[in-house]
Amino acid sequence: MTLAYRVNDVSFEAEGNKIIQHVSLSVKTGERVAILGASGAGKTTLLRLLAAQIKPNTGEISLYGENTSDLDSGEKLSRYVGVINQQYDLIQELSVRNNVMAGNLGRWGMWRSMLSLLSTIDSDIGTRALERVGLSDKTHQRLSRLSGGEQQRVAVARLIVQDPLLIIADEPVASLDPTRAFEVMSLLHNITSPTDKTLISALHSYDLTTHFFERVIGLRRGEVSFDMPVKELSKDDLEKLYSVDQDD
Amino acid sequence: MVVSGRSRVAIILATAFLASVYIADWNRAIPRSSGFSGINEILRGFLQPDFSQDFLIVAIKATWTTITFGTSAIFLALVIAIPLSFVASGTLFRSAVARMASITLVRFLLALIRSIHELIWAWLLAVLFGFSPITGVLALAIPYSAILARVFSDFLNDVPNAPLRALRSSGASNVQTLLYGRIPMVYKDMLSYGFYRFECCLRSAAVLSFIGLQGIGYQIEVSMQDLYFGQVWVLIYFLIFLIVSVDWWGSKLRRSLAN
Repeated sequence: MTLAYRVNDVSFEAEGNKIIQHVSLSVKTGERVAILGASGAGKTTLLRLLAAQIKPNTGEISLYGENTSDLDSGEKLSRYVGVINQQYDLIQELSVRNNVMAGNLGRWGMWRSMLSLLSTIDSDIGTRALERVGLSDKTHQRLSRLSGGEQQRVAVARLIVQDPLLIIADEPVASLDPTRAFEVMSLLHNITSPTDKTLISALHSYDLTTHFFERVIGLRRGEVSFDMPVKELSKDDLEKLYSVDQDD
Repeated sequence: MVVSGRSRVAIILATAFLASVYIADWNRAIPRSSGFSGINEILRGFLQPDFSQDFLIVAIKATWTTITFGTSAIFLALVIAIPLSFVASGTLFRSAVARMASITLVRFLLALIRSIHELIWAWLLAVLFGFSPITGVLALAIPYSAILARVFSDFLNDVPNAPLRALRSSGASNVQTLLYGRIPMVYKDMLSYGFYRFECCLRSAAVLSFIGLQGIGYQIEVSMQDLYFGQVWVLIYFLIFLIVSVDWWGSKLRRSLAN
């Protein structure tokens, strides 16, 4: 099985703070990995490193054999990695349709993107994506009119249109109630598992982790605290992960 | 003594004010004896505006001229300002060097252009074109395009970063990020400021008439010279009506866009 990621002794610091320290791990294609850790443990930074949005200070991340330090945002990277965050990811002033079609921007030239803002060219793929997330009746609404849960489903539809090899999700359901959270996680699961896409997600919920993921990585103060199959994850491990240090 | 930047500015302003009080020639600030009867005349004109049919036609024609000047000028200014604001915002360039160069150069140019008031532009352009309509339109459009471009470029820069980052992760180029992110996020502010500037432009167009271009200001000047204050007030009413209408139109458009 091909490797999606090989992370080799990666460290990252910003303004003198060591945020990620000596992290090494690899992720196989098609794996579904949950990353757990307290706030400030470095989950977001690790995910942004994996998404090649920031580059490691030391060490190396190889994404399908390419060093992420050589990858800049653009068409190529967008075919490898799709990103979904907790919120604030979409453009509130645009219609639902245009937000979804933005998943195509890596493939489109300037004129085509302009035309798509003004007309409804190539809408099939967007329509199908909105059907999959159950929002086809909201296509032409302004995004700001949708609820938080609906907006997150629009973000998933954009990922469906973008169709990357792997998806990086940074607490994608943290601001949703348990039912909506389960819905959005199911959608992410459904768009990745049958096609053997890789899913790496930071989470806070034990239930969602055990339900949707097969491997779990615990992050504590920028270091990998544990890396194991989800079946082996005990409440004890979690307690240790979230506990406050005596020397803090 | 440690003085913060803000209090330093306050001290400089206060000193300048006190100095100006001292320097000013207060003997000249006393109203002329004829000034009081002048106020009397103006007030009488206010109470007896000249709504005769002949003069209303003159006023409507003058208002129409001012509208055409102001509208053509703001339209031309917008056509120039919007692309300029893209360049001045530096968001089109990927390399940091190109970005800094375009921001610095274009913004310096914009500062240069808008530091010259439209009346001075009118004088300069009159040398080229004479006191023709094109002088009036360009005299307004040139400084206004610089003001609009500067403010629009600030709008385009001051947008939240997270949605833009998400667009880039979908593979968007800088131009696409502008189209799908920055512009949609700020176009309401641009519209709002554009309308405010349209108001200013109409006011300026009226004043431009004082240097010989037709319009409300020109008619005010003519009526003033003849001391027909009843006519002056009618013209001022037209000007107020014009500005209020633009304000109303702008708010209506903003409301319809908000829904």
